[in-house]
Amino acid sequence: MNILGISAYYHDSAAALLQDGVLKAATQEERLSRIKHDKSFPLLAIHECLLMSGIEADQLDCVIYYEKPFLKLERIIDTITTGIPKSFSHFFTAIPLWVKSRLWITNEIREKLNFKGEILFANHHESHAAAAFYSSSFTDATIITLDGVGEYATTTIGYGSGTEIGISLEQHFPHSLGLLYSAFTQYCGFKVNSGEYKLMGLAPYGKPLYKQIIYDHLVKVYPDGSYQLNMKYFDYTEGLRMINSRFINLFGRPMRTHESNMDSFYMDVAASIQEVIEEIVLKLVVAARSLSERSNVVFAGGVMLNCKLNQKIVEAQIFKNHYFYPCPGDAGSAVGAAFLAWHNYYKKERINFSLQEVYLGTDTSNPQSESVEECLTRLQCPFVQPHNIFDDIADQISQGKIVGWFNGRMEFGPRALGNRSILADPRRAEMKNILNDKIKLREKFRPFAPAILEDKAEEFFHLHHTKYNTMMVTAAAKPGTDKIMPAVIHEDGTARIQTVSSIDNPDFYKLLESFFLKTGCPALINTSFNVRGEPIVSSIEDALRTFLYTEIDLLVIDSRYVISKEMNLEIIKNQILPKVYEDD
Amino acid sequence: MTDLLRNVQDRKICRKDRIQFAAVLLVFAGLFFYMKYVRYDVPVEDFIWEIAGVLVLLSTIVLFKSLGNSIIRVWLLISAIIGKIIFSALLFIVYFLFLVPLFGAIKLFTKRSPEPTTNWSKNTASINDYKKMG
Repeated sequence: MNILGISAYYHDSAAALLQDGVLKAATQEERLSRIKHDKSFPLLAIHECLLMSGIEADQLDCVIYYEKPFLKLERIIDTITTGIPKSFSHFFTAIPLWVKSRLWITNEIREKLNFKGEILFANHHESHAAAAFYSSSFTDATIITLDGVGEYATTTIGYGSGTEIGISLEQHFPHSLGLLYSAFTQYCGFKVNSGEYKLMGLAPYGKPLYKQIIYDHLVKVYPDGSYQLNMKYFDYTEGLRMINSRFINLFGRPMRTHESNMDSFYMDVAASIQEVIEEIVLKLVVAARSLSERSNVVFAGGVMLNCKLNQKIVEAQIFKNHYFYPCPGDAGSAVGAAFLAWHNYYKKERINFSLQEVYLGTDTSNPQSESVEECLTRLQCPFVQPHNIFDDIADQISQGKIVGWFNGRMEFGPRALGNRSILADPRRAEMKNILNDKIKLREKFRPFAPAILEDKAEEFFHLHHTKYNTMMVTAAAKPGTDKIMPAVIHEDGTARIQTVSSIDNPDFYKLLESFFLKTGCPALINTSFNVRGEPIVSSIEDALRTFLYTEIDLLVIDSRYVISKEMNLEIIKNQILPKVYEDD
Repeated sequence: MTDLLRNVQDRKICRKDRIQFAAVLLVFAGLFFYMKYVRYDVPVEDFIWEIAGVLVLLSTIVLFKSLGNSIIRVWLLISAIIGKIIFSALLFIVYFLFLVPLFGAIKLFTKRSPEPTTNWSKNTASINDYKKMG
């Protein structure tokens, strides 16, 4: 049975294909359209999933959309009518989009895929919950989802047991921790739905001086973990901005303009909201724990991309075992929706999920696609094939070279986990600035994360009851780690580590092992293979473009082909032209 | 117009006028109560005490003979010009769109509801209802 899950129209559209209960393919539309956070109907992603699964659209048994469009529209109309006349701008922005396309999703699926089968609709937060629970190894767990907003719900507590999931409690729009964080993201001069991770990265540079102001004026927290925002300070129910002048007056400084200089005030604001969010979510987790005897917990929803928050959750040990779904945002809901159809609609049994199923994207070894060698030959791209590539590349990295590492199937989700990565030596403190300035072309304060051999991670970091293999949780560095790998330890002494085992990613493990044998350092800087504003590279052409027009020294494809900046790349430069990406 | 004014000024305010005026006020309150709590069930602030408060205030004015008579005369005068039903409708709009929110804003007569202790709602979504778009 082939089930296609789709998420679209808000941000990060995606498609996922489940074949007899096994996740065969999943990818975000942005990776293929090359438009960051692309929210359009994920036609390219759907075709890619079909290609990778070796089927045609007419072989699909069911297509499931990740949310209920009518319910969402009802909430939007409710919000608009409550805010009239201030909400006119909201009305004129939102309603035409709905009338033109979003309400006709059924027709769109039928027409674009020429699909005649069953079309289903899941609930937004159930899709999040399903993605987290069914991809975990738990047969019984509490499910917590924290998000901007779905239909009405913004935060839910539910349960998963065997093949069944349910949501017990929910908080409704406009009270949303995701939107609260986005409001501060906007205030600090970053883009909403895009720059939240920058706010998180900024927080360790500041002091939480404004925490009490936030509690006194903006958010009320109840003892049972629920919360209420004071909507007097927010504009998102009425206008097109997140915050209003009252919010700005509360902090006494204007909203930071995009790309202007960062100063300590905004760092302190970032630190304050980060702490507030952590404290509220911890209360919520305590409340969720008290609802049942379950000792496992799984998390999903865009807020769970906050890896610093996740560190606090695992350190607090409120639950015994934790699982953070590696693609917790709306893109991941395509997977959740497909699981819901399989388990809840068709009543099928669970099939074990493994980390291999994070590598779900574009596949260079797909027999139906052009091979790597054919592609490089067609592009007249020079390359070499070293005898022992892992030793050779580890050696080059240890000498300060920066490597674009393009291997096998692309990751599904926001993190590059060793298949679409830029790698560098973490022992060199200056590497952080080099990567930010010359490769990634992004803000100086942004940290870098390490990939580390799984069996060595505990020597360098304090680990707790969760898996650290998907970069979803930061870990506190042990004393001395910052001397060994200074480029990956953030201002607050933590790092968003990715532990790598030979089962999770054999080639990447071999490279890390070679680097360890050569240097004694079991980690590499691992940052996503893209520049600022660019989606992570998907195809070989994407990788070549980013390699050619940044200061990456080497490009390694499929652990076999090495292209160096020292080669004559003029011909290929004429074929692959640079692209300009909008700042994120 | 002058004749109309003189007629209203000269006529005696009888019990029937007072009952009519009070009835109009009560109808306003009833309509508002019905729309807010029965028909639409708007879950915002509770205005029961504002309605009662405004009614008590206006009824008191009616009971004080000289002041009450002046108010009723104004009501009669405008009613005579534009018709009682239209004027009542206008009064309704003014009363509920202006006075009630005003009293609400200054927290006069507003019923103090107990502090909520939670913001959780029970899940309302139907898990198995996959065929529906909403």
